[in-house]
Amino acid sequence: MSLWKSRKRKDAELSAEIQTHIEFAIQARVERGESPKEARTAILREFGNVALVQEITRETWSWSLIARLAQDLRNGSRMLRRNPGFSIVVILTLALGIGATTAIFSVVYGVVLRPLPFPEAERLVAVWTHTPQVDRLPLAAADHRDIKEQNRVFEDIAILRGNANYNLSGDGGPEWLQGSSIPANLLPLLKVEPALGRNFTPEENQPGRDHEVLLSHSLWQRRYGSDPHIVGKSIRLENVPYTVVGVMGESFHYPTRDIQIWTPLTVNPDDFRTHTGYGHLAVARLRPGATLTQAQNDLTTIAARLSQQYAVKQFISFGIAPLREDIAGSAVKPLVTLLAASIALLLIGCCNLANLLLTRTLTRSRETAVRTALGASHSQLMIQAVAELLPLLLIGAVLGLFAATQSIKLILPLLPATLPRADEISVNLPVMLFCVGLLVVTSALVLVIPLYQMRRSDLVAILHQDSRTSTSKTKIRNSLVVSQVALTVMLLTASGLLIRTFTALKDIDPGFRSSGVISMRLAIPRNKYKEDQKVALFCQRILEQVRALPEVEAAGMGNRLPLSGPSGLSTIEFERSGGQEPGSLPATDDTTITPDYLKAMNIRLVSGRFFTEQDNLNSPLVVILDEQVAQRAWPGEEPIGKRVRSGPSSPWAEVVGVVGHIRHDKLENDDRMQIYWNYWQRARDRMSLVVRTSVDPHSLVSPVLAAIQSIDPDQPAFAVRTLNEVIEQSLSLRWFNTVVVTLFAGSSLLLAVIGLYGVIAWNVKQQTREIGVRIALGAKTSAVLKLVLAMALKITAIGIGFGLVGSYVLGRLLQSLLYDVTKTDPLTFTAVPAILLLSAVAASLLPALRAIRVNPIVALRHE
Amino acid sequence: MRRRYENRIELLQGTLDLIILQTLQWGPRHGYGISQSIRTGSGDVLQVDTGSLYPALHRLERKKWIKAAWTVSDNNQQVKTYELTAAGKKQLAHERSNWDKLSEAMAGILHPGQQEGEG
Repeated sequence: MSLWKSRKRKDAELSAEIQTHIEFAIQARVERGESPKEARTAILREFGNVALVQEITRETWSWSLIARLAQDLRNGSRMLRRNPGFSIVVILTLALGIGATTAIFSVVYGVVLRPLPFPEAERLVAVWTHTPQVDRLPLAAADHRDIKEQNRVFEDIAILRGNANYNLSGDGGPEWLQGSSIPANLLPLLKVEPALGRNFTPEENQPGRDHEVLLSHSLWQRRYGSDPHIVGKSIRLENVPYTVVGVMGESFHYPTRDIQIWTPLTVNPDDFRTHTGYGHLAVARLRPGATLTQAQNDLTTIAARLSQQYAVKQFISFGIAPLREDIAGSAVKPLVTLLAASIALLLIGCCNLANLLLTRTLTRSRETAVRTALGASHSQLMIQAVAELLPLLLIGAVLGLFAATQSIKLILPLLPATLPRADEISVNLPVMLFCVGLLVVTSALVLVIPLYQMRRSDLVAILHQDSRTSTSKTKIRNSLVVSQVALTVMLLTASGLLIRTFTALKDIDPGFRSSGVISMRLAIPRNKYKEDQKVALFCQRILEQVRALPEVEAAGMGNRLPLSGPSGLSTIEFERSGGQEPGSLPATDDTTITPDYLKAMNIRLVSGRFFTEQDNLNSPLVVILDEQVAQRAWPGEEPIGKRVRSGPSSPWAEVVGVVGHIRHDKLENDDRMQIYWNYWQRARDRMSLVVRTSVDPHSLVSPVLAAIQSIDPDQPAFAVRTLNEVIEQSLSLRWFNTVVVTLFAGSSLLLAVIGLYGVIAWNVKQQTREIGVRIALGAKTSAVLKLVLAMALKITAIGIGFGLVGSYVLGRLLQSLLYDVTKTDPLTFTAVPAILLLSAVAASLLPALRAIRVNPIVALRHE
Repeated sequence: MRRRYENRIELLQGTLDLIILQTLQWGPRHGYGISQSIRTGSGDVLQVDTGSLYPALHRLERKKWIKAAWTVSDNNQQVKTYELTAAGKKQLAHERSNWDKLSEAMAGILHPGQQEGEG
């Protein structure tokens, strides 16, 4: 403020000083005999522009940096209005680059970087089982108990079940809820308390005493109208009354964001005896000061001890990672790819802007030279140049931030449901800081070259207006476009590889045939169908009705559809010849199915037979294996007739069939061996119905629903999808990723074409005299065309060369996102250069036409 | 309007500084006084434009070679006068010796015969 005042005072003093100068001069003329009026007119003419003199004088007061900056900013906004084309290009390019990058960063921040909404969340870790076959296997309850007793690094460790689903009935109609079963120590471990009511007690984690429930905030609001007296009331899950003990806070979404209800975790006592049942997520809180490495070492020691103690633990170890990373999981790589792509887009935009500014610096170089001659220092000129552009850059960034905020609102509903923590995505303070950082870096990048040029500008040459001395500028421009082309090649290559991966995944043979199948899920209420055989009978009766419908080719049920969420894994034992001890295979993926399930899914029968209706409660226990189990258990032997069991105390089951391995867990690959049990012999109350038809599968939805209703009018069916839709949903994150990268690549191609056009036009203008001479000497139109095209293609080819090298490196980084496409995919690596060369030809058309029309006489006079 | 200043024949920047410092050697003067001294001192050959003079004065003031003060003139007018500082005197001596060297060298180049005679 005082700076401002002293500046105002100094301004007044300067006016007074010049005023007295004028007065003195007038006085002198009057003394020489002129009339005062004549003298004043003469002096004012002689003196010239008083304001300009004052301005030039003020420019020597470089102490008033702020005042000067304000002045330059005013000049800048004037420039903006006077030069709307330039301004709009700068603003839009910046808004596009900054907007895209900020939007993607806000997703990355919300999903990956943002601290979990728990106190001291950095000490929370995820723990899992590692086996030679499967890296991340959930934890067994027995192992949890042992880790809890033996570890020296955790404050506490808790296990939970991520998927415990319930039919909710009562007022408001039946509804299917995604739930999770949690132990009493989970919430204290996370340092979270229910917003209303209380946590579970350890006693409530005992089987049979577990009929308590915690509601999510959204369920409480939506279904119970935020009833403040909900605690203590009873709700019906699976038609059994559960007592509401509490309501969780609004931001609590653990373990996943679709969880609406939490019930007490109970563990089957058998699991402690067999040390199996790898079905639990595990989360632990590190002691203050304990590091991840210490924790990993401690777990390794415990695993070694366990493997000596128990035969089933022989190959087992434990893995650990920060909980935040574990939750972000497989979303990290695609999101980081997107971020990199958006930054590349921003850089390509920066190249265009730098080129534009370079042109402007040149056209204004006479002004710069005059200012230098008048005594302005380089630093003053630079500050002025920066300040003039600042309004444009600021507007661009603000517009970009606005665009980011808007596009986030647009993107959020489109984000794949599999993306974790999507509810935590927003344009918040860290995102805005990132945006400001982007603005600073972008401005620096855009300004560095013109400023450097300004420093080196040769006063004499500029005042002579000899544009032939600007070859160094041409070189800089060309190299800017070369890097643009190179970056565009890399983006297009990434997009090409991702598109190729996506089409490869769409064409993949998952081991079952997905077209022509409608699926839906059923949660069979246990209080209505208490015994296993009632459940099986219910399934059988539904299937009989469905099979009788017209156009139905096959109908079956399995307790879990492929590619639709986490599956249960268990250990199986297999008998060995020659009286050896049974061998064991951990982490097999087991599914309970009805006889026609494999037929409806079109899973290949390798040998033996499918189940039939003759396999039931009264017949011998039977099992169907996939080829991988058969191969591992009895390499080179005939598996049919051999026996497997789920544990030492379970009965043996006879292998009646071997089928093809399918992509059950993931479409890309699935290392998990698969095993199928018969629905009569191992009933499950969560079943998915699959119906194969030769007509449009959607047309079967209402007849099938009617068939189910005809058996039990109260039985809801949910998640009605075709198998194709199931596969598509499993690919949704990839799809999102591919679409966005392709959009970015397209935009960058557009920017690169603009950049190429600008530089070729510049080069043609620079060589007008040369072209004129050639035309005057009789050069043909084709020769001139060739000259321009050769120039364009040369720049582009160099850019493509760098870009291909960059793409090769990029391909290695992308590797883990690729499927069935080599990182040097020939199609992509030929198509991308071709696209760019064609674009270069298109970009040089206009400048080439201008070159042909060069009038030799005018050209020779050209500067 | 700027063209007026672009087209004028300019004194080298250092030269104008030297002339101003030299003019102030004989006591404090205001801007108009300085321009008049230069004009008469050079026999009307050098005419310093106000667009050069005032920036130069303010620049020299910033470099603390001259200092400004508001005084009252003979006819009771508030006038800003400039005065050499100690640093300014040192700078003047320095620039004068530089100028002498330069003019000697220029003379040598422009009139080679005379220089030979001296050598």
